[in-house]
Amino acid sequence: MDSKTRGQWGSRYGFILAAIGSAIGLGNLWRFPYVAASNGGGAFLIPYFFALLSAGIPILILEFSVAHIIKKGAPGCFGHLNKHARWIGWFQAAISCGIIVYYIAIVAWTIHYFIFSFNLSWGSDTEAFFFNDFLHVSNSPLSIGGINTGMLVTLILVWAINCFVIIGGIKGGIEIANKIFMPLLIICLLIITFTGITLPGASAGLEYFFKPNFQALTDPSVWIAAYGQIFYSLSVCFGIMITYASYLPEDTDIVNNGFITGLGNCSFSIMAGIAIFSALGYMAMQQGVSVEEVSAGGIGLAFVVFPAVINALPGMNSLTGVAFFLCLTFAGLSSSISILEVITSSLSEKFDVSRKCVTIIVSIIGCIISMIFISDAGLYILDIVDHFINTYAIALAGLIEIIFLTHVLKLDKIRHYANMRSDYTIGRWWNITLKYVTPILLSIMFIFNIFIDFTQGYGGYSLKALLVYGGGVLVLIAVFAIIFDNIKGAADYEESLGQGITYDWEDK
Amino acid sequence: MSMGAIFMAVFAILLTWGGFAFCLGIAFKKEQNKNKNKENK
Repeated sequence: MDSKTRGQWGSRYGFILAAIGSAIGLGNLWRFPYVAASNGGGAFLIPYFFALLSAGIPILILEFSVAHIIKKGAPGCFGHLNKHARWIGWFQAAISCGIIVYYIAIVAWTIHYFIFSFNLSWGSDTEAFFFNDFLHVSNSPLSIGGINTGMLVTLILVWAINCFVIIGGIKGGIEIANKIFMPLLIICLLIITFTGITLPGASAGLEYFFKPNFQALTDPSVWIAAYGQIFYSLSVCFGIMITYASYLPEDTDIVNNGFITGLGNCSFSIMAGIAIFSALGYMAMQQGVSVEEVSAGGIGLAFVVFPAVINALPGMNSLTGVAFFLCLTFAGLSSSISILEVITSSLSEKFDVSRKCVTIIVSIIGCIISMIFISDAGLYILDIVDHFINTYAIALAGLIEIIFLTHVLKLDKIRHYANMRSDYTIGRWWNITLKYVTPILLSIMFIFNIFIDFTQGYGGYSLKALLVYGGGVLVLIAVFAIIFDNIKGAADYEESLGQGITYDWEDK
Repeated sequence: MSMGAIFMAVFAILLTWGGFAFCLGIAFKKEQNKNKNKENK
């Protein structure tokens, strides 16, 4: 695709909102608070901020700079630097394919729960409702059973929303969608936070969330958890930020945009932690148990524990439920749109096909694959696939990307490029974090997670189930990357490969 | 809430929301200056 005909953000704030919207996802609401509370509470925030400054923001600035120079999606960017490295970009696009098919199924669940919130349809036994009545969970990951037809319409609707937004283009689709979703997301979060902190018992929940256990800082697993949280939550290293930054206009800021995106994501996480734990503190007080006993993370927090909290509220139950599940829906949609954009931009650039055509084809295929996640074994498959993609694929993609970029690029020149067009400048610390701190910590995280999986297994699943779904998704990602790396693309696209960067910016 | 928890809460909010607002303020000022320069031209 000609760079002149590429879409472009309408304003700087359009890009910032979209980048923050992509970074803020379901994990900010249901993963961060639990990870923080169970890894030293307030003390966890120290390695968390350290990870943000030493890995999160430096990677954001690196991806923004490279994409701004080359102005292509992930495969195009890596292929431009070295034509033999194009597969790194396709590997990242393949990871996006793996994520989007289950991510959209979760967004469909949140829409159902948003509707359930109006009359608290989940009843008093929220656990039985979620697993039996809503998901019809089978007794094994390998007994797929039938498709949950009630959820099929919502699944198609979520795919249609994503498809519609992407077809609208950068300025007319993604930017407008984020300008609507993000303010609504913040309003919903403010409603839950305000409701939470005014409840009796909220202080006990906040005490549990913020109370620092400085002893935890000596535990390496706490530091790994902090780096993992930052790495997975910022949407880096699987093509999203590269794709979004490739649509930035020539006259733009890079460094400050990186800081705004990183800090915006963490601000939302802290606020979400306050909202969740103040509500959990209230429920613990109601049940006469400790906050630790009611605290949970992930899908269990969103669809089992929080509906129980909503049931127990003294008033405004439906409003709080609607705000919470709308919050999850908007967070999920803004992220799923960015993931779909990685795939469509990579394919439309390579084959020089219209965005509309590619988006429709990808959405139809994606929707069909997504149906497995609304089957009776959908919850198990989703859990296994999500774990394998995060633990192995994204971590490996991140490691390869950082090692490749820091060795192929002259980091001093890239830093100079970023500083030249930024509100404020970054120093040599940026080179050091990217060249040494980030790859070392990513390697440790990757090896540590493999060790845990091999010694303890995952989630109590059988080896067969882990190999079929977890191993299967990794094989499919590799096959996708190899196929699309080797298929011949449009002539212009193929010619642009391997050009590298000429570093003549000082003369311009 | 204990003093430790209050301190960490204030520290977290100041660093994230404070830092976010500060960076956004710089961006806003720059965009304003850019628009002014455009109008002057």
